[in-house]
Amino acid sequence: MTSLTGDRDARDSWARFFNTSDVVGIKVNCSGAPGAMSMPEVVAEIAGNLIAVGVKPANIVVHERNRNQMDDARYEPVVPAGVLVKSAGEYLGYDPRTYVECTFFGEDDTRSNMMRMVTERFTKIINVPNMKDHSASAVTGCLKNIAYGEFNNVARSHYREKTETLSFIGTLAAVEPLRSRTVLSIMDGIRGVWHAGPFSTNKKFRFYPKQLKFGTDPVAMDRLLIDVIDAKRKAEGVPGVFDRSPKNFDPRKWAADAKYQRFQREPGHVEYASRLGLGVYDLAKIQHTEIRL
Amino acid sequence: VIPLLLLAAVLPRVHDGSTDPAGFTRVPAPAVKMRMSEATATRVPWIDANGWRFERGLKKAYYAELPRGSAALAAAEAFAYGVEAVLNPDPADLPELEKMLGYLKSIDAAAMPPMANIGVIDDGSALAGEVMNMLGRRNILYKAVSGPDKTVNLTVKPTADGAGNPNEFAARIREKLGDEKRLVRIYGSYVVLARLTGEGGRARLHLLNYGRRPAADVRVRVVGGWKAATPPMRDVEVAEGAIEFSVPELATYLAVDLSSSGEARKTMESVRAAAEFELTADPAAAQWREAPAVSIAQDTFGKAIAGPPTEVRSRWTERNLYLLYSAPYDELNLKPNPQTAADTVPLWDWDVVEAFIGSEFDHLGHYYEFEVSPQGEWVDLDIDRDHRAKELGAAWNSQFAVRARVDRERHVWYGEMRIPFEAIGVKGPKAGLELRAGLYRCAGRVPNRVYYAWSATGQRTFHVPEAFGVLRLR
Repeated sequence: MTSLTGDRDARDSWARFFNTSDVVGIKVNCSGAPGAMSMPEVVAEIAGNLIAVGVKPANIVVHERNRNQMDDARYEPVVPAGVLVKSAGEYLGYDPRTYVECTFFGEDDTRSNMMRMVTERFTKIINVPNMKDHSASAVTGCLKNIAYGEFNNVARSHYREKTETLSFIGTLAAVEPLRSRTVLSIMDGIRGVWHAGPFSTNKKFRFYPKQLKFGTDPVAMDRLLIDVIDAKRKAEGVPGVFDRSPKNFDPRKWAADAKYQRFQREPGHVEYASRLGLGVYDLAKIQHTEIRL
Repeated sequence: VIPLLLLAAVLPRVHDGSTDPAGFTRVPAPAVKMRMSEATATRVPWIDANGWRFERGLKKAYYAELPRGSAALAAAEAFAYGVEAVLNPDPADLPELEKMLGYLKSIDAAAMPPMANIGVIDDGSALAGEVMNMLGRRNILYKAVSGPDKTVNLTVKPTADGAGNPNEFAARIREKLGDEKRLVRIYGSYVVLARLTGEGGRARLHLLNYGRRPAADVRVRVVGGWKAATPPMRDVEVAEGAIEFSVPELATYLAVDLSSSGEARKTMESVRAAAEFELTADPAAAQWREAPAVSIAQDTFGKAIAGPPTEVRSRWTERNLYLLYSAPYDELNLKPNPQTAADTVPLWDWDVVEAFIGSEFDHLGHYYEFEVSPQGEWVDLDIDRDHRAKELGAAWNSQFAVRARVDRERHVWYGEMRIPFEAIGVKGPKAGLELRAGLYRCAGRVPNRVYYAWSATGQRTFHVPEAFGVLRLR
């Protein structure tokens, strides 16, 4: 955090983003829990830093769409006392007035609504994704964690082998107030998934990037994530994230064999999001500092 | 037949299943089927619904086989389509079914014609039936017609060439119609199906949940200039020729009554009196002369009632709430052998004015009912619609006082009430205090009997606490 902001004291770094009047949502990713997720220890440390700069524990909400996934991740025993751990269903639900309306495959429910926590409660959001492969979008990092993670009715963008994640992820992430309130991203790469994500039911597809990324640009962070997942896949001897060869598409084999895919993957969603003004995609223009510990 | 559950003729009734009731056609149980092992897994499950059978003319349905958990939905489905139904439920479903029948009875209302976007020319074929089924599955409202119909946006004639795949045919109909014209849209659930009936500035939307669990956060859009919904819904938006609202949790069935009048929640003021006063039932008395009045000139559905309106005034003191009704009449409908020493039950079958008052805004189902007749008969009732076993009913005694007076020359009768605040759960009333209030009157003899409602309930019954207005102390 000090490297990100240029401060000497981490409290000053956190204070650049958050103050005592903030209500902060920590958007975790638990779809791979308990195998791979935004680790409870990382989330607890984030909450602790917020409290250290004066954010009230009751104004910190670790959240996710589904309660069952958060139960698997077990945040409650680890986060500081008073911090809330809530799913959309048990805390305010979805905002009927804030939605993206479109149809992909003729579905009747054409709206994806933003969580009401985001529209009515939070003043700031910290995005805490995992480093994961995704069967439809190729990678799931910052953009997808707030896009598909803060809206409902999003799985409709995948149907049979086709997926509309190319444009849908960026479109959702660009909706206000989500876009403006997401001020900081911390990507948890302590554990990751290199195939068959976003879930992590097969241990052999888990890996350990052993890194955390701190940033304010979700596109840049996801651009770097593409390289992490792509390199791992190639190291495992399977097609990389950009592969869309029809011969490698097999909905019956993909879950067990990393050579195969379930959907025609759309890693281009990251570049697409850059064109919506969400961040920088060009590696040459991304400011990236690596610190080894 | 189980007599306990026999209700009005139009409401579903229970049968023991030993023989098929004469004149009734067997229909399958309403249900959702996930079929996850077939074809591509989808979040849009198959639904067995009978709406298409009813829309094409089936009027008497026998739900002969109702697996556990389906009886209440079957009753609601038949009710929503105005179909006479006989049910053979699983015994374990009887409590839930009885609860549903109670709800259906409470909202029973005169039938209105179906509202539809699509007319399906019905040649009686299986194909036409399946097209209707697929349209209903998508909440594209349709009706069966015999030829081109000018009351709908599109009339379609299913043929083997064009509608060989009824599901794709329904999708093409949707595309041709355009979503913006669809009378009803349902967001947030794939297992809630809707039916819309209406005429003359009012409509009823039937929402049926075919899922196995309550549907949460269902968002509903109804096109057609509707401005108000009863019971009050959450997150209501009225714009661009449509009303939208949310249903936080839809268990099995909900009827939502819509009005194009946009009538806002009614509010009346009660003006403080300097001291307690004797009941006179006389609007010319000093305590009533300057009291503001509200008029009631509509029935429970918001339909205007001919003739001069009923007026209600209110005053309050530290201890009591006073109400005075002025009720013009053509002919009084009085109970023979009146007695005023105790509650008269049922008083509401005769001429009577009524006040439903509640002081709990977080428990709308609990309120108190006060009535007085032209002969000074009275009744006071403790009502708790959420906990019927707990309510005291007529056994409750509020110690309220009444006075009635009939001015036969002017054809107006007056009913006055003095209601102790303490009895209705109010301690130390102050200016600004708000109470929930429904003001009603039953008048005349059948077939000219009318039911006045200050705030329309959207149903035949007065007992819709969600529709109460507000009585504010000043």
